[in-house]
Amino acid sequence: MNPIARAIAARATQALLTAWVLATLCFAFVHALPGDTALRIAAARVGEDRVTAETADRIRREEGLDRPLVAQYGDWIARLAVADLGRSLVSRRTVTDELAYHGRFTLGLGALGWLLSYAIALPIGVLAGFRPGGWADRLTTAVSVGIASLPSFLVGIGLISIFALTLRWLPPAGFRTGAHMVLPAITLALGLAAYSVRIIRNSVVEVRAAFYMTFARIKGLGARQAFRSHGLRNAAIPVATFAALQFAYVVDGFVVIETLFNYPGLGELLVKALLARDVPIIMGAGLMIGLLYAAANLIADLVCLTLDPRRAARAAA
Amino acid sequence: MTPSRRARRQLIASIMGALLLLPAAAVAQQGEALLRVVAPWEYSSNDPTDTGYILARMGIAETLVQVEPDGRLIGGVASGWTIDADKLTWRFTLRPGATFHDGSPITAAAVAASLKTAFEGESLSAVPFDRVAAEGEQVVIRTKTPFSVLPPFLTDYASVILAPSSFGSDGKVQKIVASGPYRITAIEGKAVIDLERFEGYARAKPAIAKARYTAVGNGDTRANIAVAGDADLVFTVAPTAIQRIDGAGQLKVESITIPRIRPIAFNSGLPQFEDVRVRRAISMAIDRAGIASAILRHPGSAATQLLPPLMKDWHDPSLPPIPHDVEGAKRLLTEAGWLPGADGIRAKGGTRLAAKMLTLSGRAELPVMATAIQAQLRQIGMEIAIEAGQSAIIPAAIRDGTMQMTMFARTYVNVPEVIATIVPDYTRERSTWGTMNWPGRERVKPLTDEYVSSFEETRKATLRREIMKIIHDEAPVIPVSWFEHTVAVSKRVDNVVIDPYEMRYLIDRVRFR
Repeated sequence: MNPIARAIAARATQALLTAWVLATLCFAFVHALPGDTALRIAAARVGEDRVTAETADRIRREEGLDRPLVAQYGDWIARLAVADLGRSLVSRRTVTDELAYHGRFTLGLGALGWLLSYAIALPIGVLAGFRPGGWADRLTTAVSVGIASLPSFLVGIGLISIFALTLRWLPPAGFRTGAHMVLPAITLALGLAAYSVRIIRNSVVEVRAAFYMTFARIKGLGARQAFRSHGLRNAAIPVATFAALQFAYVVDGFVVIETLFNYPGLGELLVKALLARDVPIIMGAGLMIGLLYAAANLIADLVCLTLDPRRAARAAA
Repeated sequence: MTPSRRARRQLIASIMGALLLLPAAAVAQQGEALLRVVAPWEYSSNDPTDTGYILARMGIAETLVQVEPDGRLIGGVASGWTIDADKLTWRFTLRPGATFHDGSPITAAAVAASLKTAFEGESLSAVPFDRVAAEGEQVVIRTKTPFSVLPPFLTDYASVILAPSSFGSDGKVQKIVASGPYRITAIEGKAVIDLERFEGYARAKPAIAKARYTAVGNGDTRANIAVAGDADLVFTVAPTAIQRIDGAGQLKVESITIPRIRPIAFNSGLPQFEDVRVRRAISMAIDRAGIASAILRHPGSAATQLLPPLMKDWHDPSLPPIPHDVEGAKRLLTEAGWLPGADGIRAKGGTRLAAKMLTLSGRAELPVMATAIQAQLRQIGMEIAIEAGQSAIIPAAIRDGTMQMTMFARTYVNVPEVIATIVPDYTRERSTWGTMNWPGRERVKPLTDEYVSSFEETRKATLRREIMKIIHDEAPVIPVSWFEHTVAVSKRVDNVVIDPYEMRYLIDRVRFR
């Protein structure tokens, strides 16, 4: 089996197991929470003012919430075997539809924010790494630590105050046009770049101090050319792993940003499902997040195999 | 320059260009002749029991009967109604020539079928429903016992009339085909509903051709939208945001007092609360005016009795306003045998005057009000612990019998007849949003029974006064404040009417200036 096929097979097995364990833990934790699930579902459906014990009793009966937990879990597993994740207890839409609908918003915004973060972090990180201890490095450190220590809602509120409420260039919330994506994407990108810029900077510093770089310079190459020819790929290996995990993190939901900008992503769906005890959605989301992290790890592995011939050779051996 | 480098530069230039054009696109969008409505509630499902209020408020679906902002009942899908001499059989005549949004005629059979589904739910469970049927051009509803308040019950959003094509083979609502002045053109997730004027509408057609409903749950985000001028009507604005919105000059906040209250309810079966003098003392110790000014930012919202003056039939001006009298409250407690202990907390027969008050975190002002009340009750020697949580904590505590004291928000006009709230809240042993173990329910029950069966207006007025006097004097539930219904209105629209019953947004009457 070639290294790529082996990596895919290993990660696929890992993904399925992780996803199943995560979904099962979700089921166990939700049911371990105090309170009546049917009452929560009733409140989410009919509103706080109109929820009554009678409504909760009807929902308990209709949705089979009065059955033993083992039976409910067994039912979920049986449906999962035929790729049916069930229906939301609140909206009654299929879990697959709910995840697909909210997932595409999160994926879109996550991808945009992630790309934007690397558009910011890559040049700055490389610049800082070329002159460690220089003014650019010190400034970058100060700014990135400052942004990283700010909660994302503060960054978002700051951007909304300037660009939506004062200048009125962009809408403060919503999701229907490209303009609606600008502020949440920048908020997300700044938060991500604050971390990745340090990873890139450290990676560049490490690679530039490596013996093979010194050898390249002795060979007569200029600093930039040596870095382009011999340093770039090596510096990219830790960055690629970090970037893949960061992407998985943004896709599994950035609740604060979605709430602040009224963006209907997965984070928002999951929080509402947790508050409403919408068990099928919570389990479906758990399953999907597990698969997502495994996919991100797989992509990181494949990128590293491509970038690093030593690793590919080891895997082949 | 190599071709690949040129392609890269072109790509970057395109992205930058698109980003620069986005703000312009947003501004252009604001100029569209589209009425933009923002409110907190998501359109979570097609079931009218869950989200019928959005359909009714946005003028998408209509009920058989509707209520005007001044409280008058008017025909909705029906043009009028009569009752037979047996006082059991109601006949509703439909508007001639009216059609559903799919062009199919609104027939008595279609209306009867839609209502039959509604009567199966909990919303209309208080109606002693016998049957509903089509008789010629009329819809006939028969009750098992005389029920004079049937027409206001038929304004309940759960009873919106939907076309037969709305229902699937399982009898569940699959899509919304209704009969209101606007019809749905698109639903985007749970947050956005796009509407267009229904040209086949039987009554006055809306002036504005297109509207959009956007659900924004977060109050701060709604306020930001109003400040940025990104909507024409923003409903349910937090008191703390009013100044900011008005100051920005894009939208102006308008408000009216509505029959929704923030009360405290007691478990009257507990030793702490079984004596009416204790309940009255607690009521007297609360500084309603201070809470209304400092927390709610609206002095007029301090409650003087259960319902505000807007409810002319149920607000009794002859009832003495609830006083704020801390010394009087202390005297009442001493008279009732509750004496201060070493720590300042009163006790009687080994029971401390203490309780846990449950309140709702979903309404931001309630935990703050609860904290203020905690400090105010401490002054008269009562100790309360506060637990704020999701709405389900209150029904759960009532069910398992652990409820001691609760503070919440409650509308008295789910339908425009207060008796529909009085019956479940004040005549049962355990009411979710009212009294618990209150012996006075035995006195209220015969009055409410007579009220719903009486067709004599003079007698009903007397019954209303008697019911409200018992509730006012016995204080099983004490009102703290009334609600302000706040709407931020754009300068570009005119003829906005705020419905105190919160049944409709009346956007079909709104015009662009």
